[in-house]
Amino acid sequence: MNEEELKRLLLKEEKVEKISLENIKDYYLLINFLTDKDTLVRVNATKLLFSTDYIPTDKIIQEYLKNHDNLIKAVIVNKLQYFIPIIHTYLIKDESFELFFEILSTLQAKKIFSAISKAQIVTPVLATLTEIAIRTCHSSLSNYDDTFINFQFIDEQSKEIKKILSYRLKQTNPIFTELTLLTITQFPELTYLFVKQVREIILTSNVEEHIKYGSIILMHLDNQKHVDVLITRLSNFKDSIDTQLAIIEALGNLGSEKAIGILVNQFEKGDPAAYYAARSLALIGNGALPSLITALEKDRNVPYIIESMKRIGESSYDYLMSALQKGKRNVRRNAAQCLTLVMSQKYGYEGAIRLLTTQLAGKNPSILEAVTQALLTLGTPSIKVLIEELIDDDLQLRKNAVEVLHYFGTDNIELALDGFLESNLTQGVKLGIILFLYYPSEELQELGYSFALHKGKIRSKDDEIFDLLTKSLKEIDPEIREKSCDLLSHLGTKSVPILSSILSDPNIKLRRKAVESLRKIKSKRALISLIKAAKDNDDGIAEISTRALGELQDPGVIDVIINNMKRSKELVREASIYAAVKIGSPIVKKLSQQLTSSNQHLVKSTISALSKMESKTLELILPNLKSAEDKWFNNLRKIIEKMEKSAIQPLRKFFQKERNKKAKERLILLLAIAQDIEIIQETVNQIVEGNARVGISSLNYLGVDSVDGIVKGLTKMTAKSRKQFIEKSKGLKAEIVVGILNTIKKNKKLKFLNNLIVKSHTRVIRRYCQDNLIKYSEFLEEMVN
Amino acid sequence: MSYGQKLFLKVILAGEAAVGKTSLRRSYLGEGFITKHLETIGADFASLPKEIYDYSVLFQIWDIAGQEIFEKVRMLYYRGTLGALMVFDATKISTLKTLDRWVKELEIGTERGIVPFYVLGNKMDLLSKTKRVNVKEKALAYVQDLNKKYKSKGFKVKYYETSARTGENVQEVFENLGSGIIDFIKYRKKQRGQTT
Ligand SMILES: Nc1nc2c(ncn2[C@@H]2O[C@H](COP(=O)(O)OP(=O)(O)OP(=O)(O)O)[C@@H](O)[C@H]2O)c(=O)[nH]1
Ligand SMILES: [Mg+2]
Repeated sequence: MNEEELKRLLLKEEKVEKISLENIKDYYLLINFLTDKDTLVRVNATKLLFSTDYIPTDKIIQEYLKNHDNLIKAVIVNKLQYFIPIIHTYLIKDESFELFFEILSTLQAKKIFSAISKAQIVTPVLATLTEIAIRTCHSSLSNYDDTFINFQFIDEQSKEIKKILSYRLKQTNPIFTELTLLTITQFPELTYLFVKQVREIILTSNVEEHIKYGSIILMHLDNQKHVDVLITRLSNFKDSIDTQLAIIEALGNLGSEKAIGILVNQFEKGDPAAYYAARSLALIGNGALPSLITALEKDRNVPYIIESMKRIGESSYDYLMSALQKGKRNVRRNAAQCLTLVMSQKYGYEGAIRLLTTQLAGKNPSILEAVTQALLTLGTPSIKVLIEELIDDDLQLRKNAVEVLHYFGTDNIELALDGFLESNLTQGVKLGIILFLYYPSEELQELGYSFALHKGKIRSKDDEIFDLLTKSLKEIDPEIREKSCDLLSHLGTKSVPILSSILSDPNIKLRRKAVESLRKIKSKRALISLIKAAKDNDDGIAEISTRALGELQDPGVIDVIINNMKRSKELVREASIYAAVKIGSPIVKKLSQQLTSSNQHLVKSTISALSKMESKTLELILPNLKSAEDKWFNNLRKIIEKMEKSAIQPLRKFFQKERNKKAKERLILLLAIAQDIEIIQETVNQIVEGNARVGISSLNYLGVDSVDGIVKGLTKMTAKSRKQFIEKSKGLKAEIVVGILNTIKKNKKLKFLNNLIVKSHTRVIRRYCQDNLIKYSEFLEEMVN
Repeated sequence: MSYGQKLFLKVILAGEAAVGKTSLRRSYLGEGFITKHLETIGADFASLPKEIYDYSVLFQIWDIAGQEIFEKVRMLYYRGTLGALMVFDATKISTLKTLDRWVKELEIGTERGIVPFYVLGNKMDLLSKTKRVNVKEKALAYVQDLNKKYKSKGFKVKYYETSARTGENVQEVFENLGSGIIDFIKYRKKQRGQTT
């Protein structure tokens, strides 16, 4: 076919695809028509060309390179997929790069990639090579997610790929270097092909992106020997912060200990560089720890050191602990700070506090200072742990816990305890108790007490509290033990056995406390122990337990109480009296038998006890009147003396019923002692009837109060009786006699009796006058006339 | 020791990841704003002495990690907390909706029940005026519910619009929380006085 023939066919033929091209020459002719003046020729030439099996893409491109013809350009763009297999060769040649770059840069990544995908079907390798060639110069394709590049491809085509990328990296336009580096970062397998170049770029480029991607590439190499260039870059260049961050990140990922120094230096830059450096140091791991510890010397940057250690985790603890013990002062202090935050990652907040407080067991003051600081940093949650340490077996630890609590101060401690009232009462009460028992200052003891008690009762009766008090009862410090005894009383019957066990303790004060508590508990379960305690040689203990026994009002303790009435210390006897009175009726009978005892203490106590009891209890004793010996009766008189008027009621009750003469006489006397003036008539009668002894004593007991009654009696009497009374009443007290005289003197009917009275009672009247500095004669004159 | 006898007020910043807790803490302490999200691991800590009323207090500010992976350790950091700032990202309303979970954590975690707290809509600098109003409406409704729930606990939940970037309201929020806590402590003391 010649040129004319072909053109004719192109103009005429409806279905240009039917034109048959015989040889390569025909194809070349056809390519010429792609630039024909006639549009129809051009269109059909294109149609024909792309309908054939063989498309001379190379020829077409060369044509384009020669003429820069727009129509050919359009052909290339429209039929890109056919050109894909060869484009890579043109993109790495100086003479063709620009032209192709120009074509490609007008195209969207999506279109290019779709062409590459189609080309893949026939020529996968070449198409993929083109993808690489375009990616490295086309900024939107360079970021395209889909790709045909894979590990195997890179492995097999490394030579070709290297050709493309090397060319690109040599190009002067930095954007191509950037895109190439970006591509390499996306396909880490490529990295190995360009190590040298990348290192060079990092050391020389002044394009930030180059450094960023370069860093990533070296990071992918995972070979520590490359950290040198990164370190050089980071220390010698003033790159933007983002670039620095990339280098810092790469250094961390490479994990070389060589980078530690420069990374620690980054802390000085503050966030975000410092934060990234901290992260990178953590990636380097344990190797970074010694430098981090050293960095604690400066008081700056501690948060970043913490950040690193938090990420390194477990192994930091050992270093920090050892720094806490051996480091310089600043290191120690900051190490404590770190420990709190680092450890809380693993052991939790409270675990960290506990670990720290274990350090309080030592004596080294600087460690203590450091730990204290750390605990203060952790704030109020430390308080709970510290209070609990107050009961630790290690006394040094206790002492130091006190010290730290002191730094917290009352307000913070109160605040911490307050929290528990809402959520965990037992815990709050427990801490309150510990403070009360173990803390050496009064202020905090009181605070503790106020949290432990509410209206005098421990607010929580959990076993935990009981166990705590049982434990504290075994302390060495007697003061703690005493206070525990005190608190145990608030737990009621449950505490009886443990308190009872204290009663055999050699410490008297403690035994005393225990007894006091047992007394407060008021439980019959304590009876046996209290009985034992009542026999204690210590008078104080005997006293309290005796009182306690009385309060229990159990008849089983009568003997013990009576026995204690004999003890030499008044204190104990008083207690026995108190107890006897508390017991009341059940003890009365046995007690009254003691009135004849030869033990003076016992008799006195008995008298005191019986006289203090309710008057009704007399009824239990009075039946003895008939037969009781005088000693007994005399002591009973002492009782009635003390009871005074309150005894009248039961005495009268008995008097009215009593037929026995002796008993009756005794009752009259007792009633008189009890100041019952209604008994006067009886006494007067007794005298008249010849039983003067009882009558006179009775009247004497009643004293001047009896005067009116006597006069009244005299009025009603026969003359004989009057005479008998006056004569037999010798022995009446002077004031009674004088009283009678004075009263009768004004009584016309009885006035005359005064003479006889004066005669019969001369001795007492004389003594009376003497005592009162009255002339006897004048007195007589006044009374008798 | 530098702490003296100050009242320790432990305050916690809580809320979803990246809402700006760390940024708020930094802003309050005058440490400058960082555009990057440097995610917090576990918790970070800072302290600052202050005078509130006639109290010398030491603010102990704990800024806890919002990321889910730290959920387990997080509970422990609430212990002893006396006040909290519940932060949400005003540009991401979903972070307001999840605050409930954080409030619950606070209530359980302090070991003293609920304590005074405020709700903070952060990143206000990124919001248009109309958007601001919109967010405010939602936040106030939420705060109202909270106040109903925690009636007679000795404090009031408030809503603040903040920006760690511009510093808007940052000082106020911390300072007000401080005095809110002191009031709460006094209230507790009074209550205790009545029952002890
Ligand atoms: N514009 C703006 N951005 C903010 C503000 N507060 C925080 N950011 C940004 O939000 C991102 C997250 O901030 P961080 O403070 O790290 O968030 P966080 O709540 O501490 O996050 P976690 O520690 O992961 O829980 C960062 O990129 C900050 O720059 C703000 O008020 N305005
Ligand atoms: Mg944070």
